Amino acid sequence: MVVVCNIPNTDDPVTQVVPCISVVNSLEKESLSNCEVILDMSKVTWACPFSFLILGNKLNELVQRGCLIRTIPPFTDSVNEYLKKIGFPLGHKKINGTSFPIRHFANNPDKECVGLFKFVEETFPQTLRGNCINYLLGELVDNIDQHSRYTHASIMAQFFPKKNIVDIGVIDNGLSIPRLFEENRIPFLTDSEAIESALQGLSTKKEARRGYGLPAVHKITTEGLKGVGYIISRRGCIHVLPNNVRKSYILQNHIYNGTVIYLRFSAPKEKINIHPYL
Amino acid sequence: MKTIKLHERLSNYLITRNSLNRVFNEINSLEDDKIEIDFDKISFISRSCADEYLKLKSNCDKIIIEKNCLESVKIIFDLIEEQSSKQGHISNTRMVSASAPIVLL
Repeated sequence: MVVVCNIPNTDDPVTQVVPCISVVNSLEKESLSNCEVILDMSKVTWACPFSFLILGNKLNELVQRGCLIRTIPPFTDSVNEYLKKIGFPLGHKKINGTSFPIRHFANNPDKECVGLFKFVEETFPQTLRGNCINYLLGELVDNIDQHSRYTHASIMAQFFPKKNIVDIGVIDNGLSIPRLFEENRIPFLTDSEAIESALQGLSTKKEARRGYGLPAVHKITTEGLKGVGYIISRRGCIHVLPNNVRKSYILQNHIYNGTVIYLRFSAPKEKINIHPYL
Repeated sequence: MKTIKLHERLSNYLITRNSLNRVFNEINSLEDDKIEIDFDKISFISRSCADEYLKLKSNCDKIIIEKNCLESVKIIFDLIEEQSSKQGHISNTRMVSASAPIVLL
């Protein structure tokens, strides 16, 4: 059965999130009744890495569940080239240029992260090497490992030298932030509010000194690096911007069963000290 | 005294809390009362991992001594110790969210 990928031609994750999740949910639905699913991406003329991370994660999950997946590639050559570079959809070990291919994992997140850290050390701008990117990725991956009870997770990191932009994405198909809050009887009104509370340091873990990771990641991204972040979890979507600006969204007709965190920032001219943000 | 070389057990990067749990399971199973943990070649420790290390160390009934800790790694441990002394507990009551209006997608 064919699922058509109708992602709008934009570089804005918020505009792409609903169509993307719609495709993911259609893939899931089709996989329940068909052992072969075809994703038609012929109409995709551009999509940001965020969307390919979400789609890639889902396709990998379906393959691991025994589903046969085929994709009809985009007609646009540049998109095709990019998809090959990042190993869409199932990832690959070969590294091309400054794009670390999507890596999927079901356990042992440390091993995948180590590969990514080494890649950053070797290819990213000098000002980002060392603690900065390692911290962002390390905390996000540890969060998945600690909280989500995932079966499939994916990471990616890319540097676009012409635009001087870095994209980092981490996604899991486990329990969403709102669902975890519900399990732990933490009240909230909307799923976006639950995400906001997590951003402010509220943790479901009862031990002391918990709840620092996610807030620090976003402070480093938006205050230290003057970048932006996106968190999508169940029906909530938060766009975090510099100067503590937040934009909150609710997905009316769709649910994302998991959590996506996507960060975007420019490579700074000087190395930043992340310690004030920890 | 037994020496545990962290980079041989894990890698040059200490990332997740669970990875350290495995190391301390090994430490706790040893007969030695004093254990030296060698941070040689450890170039990065995440805040979460450092926090877990301090927690596991305090719960361990052995004497743990660290050596060859890079300054960048020591700074993270110091930061956590400092946060511990200032820790205010965040309760599970509903937090007031940011005042940004919610847009429906």
